[in-house]
Amino acid sequence: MALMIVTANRLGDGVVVYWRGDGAWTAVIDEAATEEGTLKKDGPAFVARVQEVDPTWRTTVVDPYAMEVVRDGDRLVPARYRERLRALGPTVRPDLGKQVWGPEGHGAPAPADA
Amino acid sequence: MYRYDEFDRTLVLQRVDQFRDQVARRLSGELTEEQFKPLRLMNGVYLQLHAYMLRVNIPYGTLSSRQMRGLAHVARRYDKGYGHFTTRQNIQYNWPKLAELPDMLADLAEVEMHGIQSSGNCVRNVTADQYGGVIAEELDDPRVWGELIRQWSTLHPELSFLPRKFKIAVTGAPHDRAAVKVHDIGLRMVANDAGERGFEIIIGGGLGRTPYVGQTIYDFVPEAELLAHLEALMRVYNRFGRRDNKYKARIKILVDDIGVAHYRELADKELEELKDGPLRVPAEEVARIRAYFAPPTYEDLPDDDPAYAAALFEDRDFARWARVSVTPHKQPGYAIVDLSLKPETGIAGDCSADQMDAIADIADRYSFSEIRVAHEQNLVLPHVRQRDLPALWRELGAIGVATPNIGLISDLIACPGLDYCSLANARSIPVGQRIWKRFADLERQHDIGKLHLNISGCINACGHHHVGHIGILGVDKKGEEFYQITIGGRADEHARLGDVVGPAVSYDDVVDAVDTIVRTYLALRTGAEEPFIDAVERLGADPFRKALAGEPTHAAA
Repeated sequence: MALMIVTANRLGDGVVVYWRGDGAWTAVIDEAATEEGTLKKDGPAFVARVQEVDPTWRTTVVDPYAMEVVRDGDRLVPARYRERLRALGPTVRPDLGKQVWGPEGHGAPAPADA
Repeated sequence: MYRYDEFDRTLVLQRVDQFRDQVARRLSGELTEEQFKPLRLMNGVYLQLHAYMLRVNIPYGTLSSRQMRGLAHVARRYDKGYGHFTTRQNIQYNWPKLAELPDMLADLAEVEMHGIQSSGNCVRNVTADQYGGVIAEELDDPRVWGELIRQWSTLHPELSFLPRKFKIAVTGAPHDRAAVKVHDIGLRMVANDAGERGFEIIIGGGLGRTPYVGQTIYDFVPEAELLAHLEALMRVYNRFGRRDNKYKARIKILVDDIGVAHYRELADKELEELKDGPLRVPAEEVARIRAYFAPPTYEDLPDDDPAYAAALFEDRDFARWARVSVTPHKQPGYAIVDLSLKPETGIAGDCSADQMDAIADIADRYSFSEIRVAHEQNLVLPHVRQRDLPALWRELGAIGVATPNIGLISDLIACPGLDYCSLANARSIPVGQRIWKRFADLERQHDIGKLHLNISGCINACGHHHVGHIGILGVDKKGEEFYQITIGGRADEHARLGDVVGPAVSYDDVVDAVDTIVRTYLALRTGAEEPFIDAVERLGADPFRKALAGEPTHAAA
């Protein structure tokens, strides 16, 4: 079993967003609603539930899918490297993407070499 | 310089209006993403990891200073102040907002630029030798023919629903700088025994997950028959190319399946109908297009300008830059100048809006307002007076585009990789930056000599890793980044694919592996006059494999 959240890109600007569970999408990963399950087996059902709760998702976000995270205190850290980058922004441009918000409470910890 | 005619202008402006309506309908919910996606892709709009991305065509890599200022303007107004020049001689913007994209495209249309056919299963931006029209060795300016192909293939109904994307490259010179042998169709200008100009047509080349070096299907096609031959080849592809499997849909798979001889038989049948039809290229049309590419009014100057010669003698830094950045021009007293977009700690191919504006100003003063884009992600000033080279070098240095590394190991190609691209498995740019850092000593780089290092962040090979002298491919191993290394690839007239030299290495180990390969070359080369690629071809990959595996190698006698 793993911890899952649902992510997508925001329709208007493509910014990475996460399902918050209260009918809204958030750009802050730590605010994402989590569910336990196996990504392959339970991920699609999680996404389907989100789409049911938010019937307007088609005009808000693009291509929602479930991803694995690991809880680290108050923070949610993506399990895969690709998702860590989505949560932060380009490692080669620390002045761009979510990483400019600063590490506290936003995004994921920077990779060691970023 | 080529400029759009009224037909192009109308077409592009109509497309902007259509796209504006499509975006509005998408944002209102009238269009679903499934309906909208093919429409945005037709205009070069992708959705990447962090944001939308707009790809803008730069036909055959030729830009005016006015267009460069247009690119700078949209970078500032709609993006984050920079753009990324790609291996397709295009530019990509990484952060546009969907609602603003129609305005961005409208502003680009003001400088005759657009993203039409920069995505989707159609004929993409035609690429060409970046030295077209100015290099002495060429038979003809490839841009004339690139433009003819652009006009023929733009919104061509038979080419609007191909099995897969289609890339055509043209070179007019014997030395191939346009990588024509690794394109779906590559065109090399050749002369027949009677001295008439025509084309060798090479087909079925390509990189990606199944790389092939293209094969010659026609040794000599007269200029007037070029479009008929291309159309015949495309008809065969359209009819027999696979549409059931995206990964087997490129023309290279079809050519491999049926063989180039059978492909030619099928194309020849089509040609019976096409050869003497309306696709026969009228000489007056070629002349009309050629006039757009007429050379500027050069001054009558002697070659080997004394001021230039003196500066080479007196200033070691200038001489080092000139040695790799300046290429002889066909016009006496002039030079072709490469601008490096690969500074230390920079991002290969990235150019800030301020740099773009400055380069446009410099092009106005030194290069008849003309700029070229090279597939190696650098820029070129094609018409510089030799006597201006010292002053130009200082001005280029002031804006960070005079790094003396053209053709050297730090002049590496790197795709955007996992830092930006939704297809990537691993990062490319920081691997390149770390290699740059390892080889930061420019004296050492010059000692190592010509070495093309290409990095792709996934098997799609936008970073041309298969044809790098050293190629690096990023792969995903259980969610972490690993890198497969090849050596011996090359993209020129002797094109070949690189050989794998060992198991994939981690992100941390990849720079050491490259260093080992370079040290092995330095130990085994016959002398400084034997470039890396020649040494690899002489020695084979084994000594490099052994060195990477920690086994001893033997220095050449």
